[in-house]
Amino acid sequence: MNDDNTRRRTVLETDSLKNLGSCTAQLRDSHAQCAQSYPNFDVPFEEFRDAVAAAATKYLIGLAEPNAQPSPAELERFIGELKIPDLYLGLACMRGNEHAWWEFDRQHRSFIERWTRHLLRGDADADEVIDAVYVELFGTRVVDGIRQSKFRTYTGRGSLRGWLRAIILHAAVDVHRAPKVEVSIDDWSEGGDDFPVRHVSGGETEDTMLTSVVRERYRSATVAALDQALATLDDHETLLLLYYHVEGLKLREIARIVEEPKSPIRRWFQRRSSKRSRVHESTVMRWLDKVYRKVHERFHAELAGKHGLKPEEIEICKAIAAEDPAQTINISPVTGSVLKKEEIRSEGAS
Amino acid sequence: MKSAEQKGDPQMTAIRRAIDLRLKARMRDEAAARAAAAHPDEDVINAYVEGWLEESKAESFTSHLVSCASCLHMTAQLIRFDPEMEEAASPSADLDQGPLQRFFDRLASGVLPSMDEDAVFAYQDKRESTDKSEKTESDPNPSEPETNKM
Repeated sequence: MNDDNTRRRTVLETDSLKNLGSCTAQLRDSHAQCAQSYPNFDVPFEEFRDAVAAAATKYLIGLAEPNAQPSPAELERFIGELKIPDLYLGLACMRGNEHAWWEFDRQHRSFIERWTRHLLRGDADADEVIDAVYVELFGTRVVDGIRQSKFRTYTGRGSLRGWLRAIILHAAVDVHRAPKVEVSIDDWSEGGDDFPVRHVSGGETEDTMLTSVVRERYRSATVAALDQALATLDDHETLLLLYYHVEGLKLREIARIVEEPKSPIRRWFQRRSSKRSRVHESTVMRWLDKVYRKVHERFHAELAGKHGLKPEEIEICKAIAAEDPAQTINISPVTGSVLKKEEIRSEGAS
Repeated sequence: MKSAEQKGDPQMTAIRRAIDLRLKARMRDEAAARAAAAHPDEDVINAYVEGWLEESKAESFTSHLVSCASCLHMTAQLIRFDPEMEEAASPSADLDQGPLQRFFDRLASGVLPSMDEDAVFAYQDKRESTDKSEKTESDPNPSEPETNKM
């Protein structure tokens, strides 16, 4: 069953790729293999070619310079890397071919259910999300005569199953209308440099007010220095920290993605390492350790240089930054009073 | 070689804790700021995680990730995915009816949500709650690296 209202794109990307013609034989061969494997899917060669052209336009145009055209060799390699059977299946589903949908269900339905239930841990909610995913994949909206099947966005650059995982993640968020980021805000509740101005009650002594002013000064310096230190990191180093600290990925999970031969993080790591050994949890820990030291040195240098703080003041800043409840911060050289960390924590959270 | 943490270096413990708190606060702010911003689609996100992006595109996406809490979370979820689950989800050959038929059956029975209606659902990721409680039980400091336990 073909759906005449479903067309991949109104503008043929083929026209914008000057060298695609040199790959016609490769494309015809790929298409013929798919048609042989799935004779009932009924995907015309032109539609298949246009889909590949759209993928190449999306991922190859402008790599070296704006609007730079990929060479015939680059296109050939790119097409060779595409998940052609997955793309063919997606195209046929997008056209509403019932044989293709049956095959899609056979290959992926069980996976979709498992992944959704794995994400949500609640069968009733999972059913809602699974239905939403199928609605999106099939496409119930029609814009300018074109049914908006989600398969329109699948290019075959990655696996169909990986793409489905991402679709389900988005669908789960949409269904639940919940923010995706579940960041603990127990500590350091005010981000950035906009720390709240502490309201001083009439009963507070002059010493306490002075302490408050000094504390705010240290706090501001701490945040600025830490941000500056973090800003000196390579994006990949920051990403490593974010995965570990913000997303809570385990060391073995980070190690696993680095082990992937084509992982972008692996490419980055290999440029910085003479070794090509396996990446274990301990390897990731060593990278983290290296990054911690880098931030620590830079943080120290910022506080001493830019903010002109003395060593004992830097220690106060470190304590503020870490909010270690066991640590007592003595700022008596400036104010003559002693603050306990718990006091700073409670005020910082106000 | 032992890490600084294993040696009990309080300086490193402090800076690690500081980084942990600061990054979480920053990403929370980024999440709010980027809520309505444009993000790469699922195709790009998956291609990145699977390692299929050309290097310059991957670099560009990495730069986006470090300032976009939403996409960071998405990629982390995909990385966290357990490959064993995929193996368990083998194709089922015993489908008794076509998927379109089932889809329309559900549509006819009113099970499918209306695309135009707003609905609010309470959502809690029990897995994360469990993970956190387990982590808390075994380790009072949630940001302690795993190697410390070895």
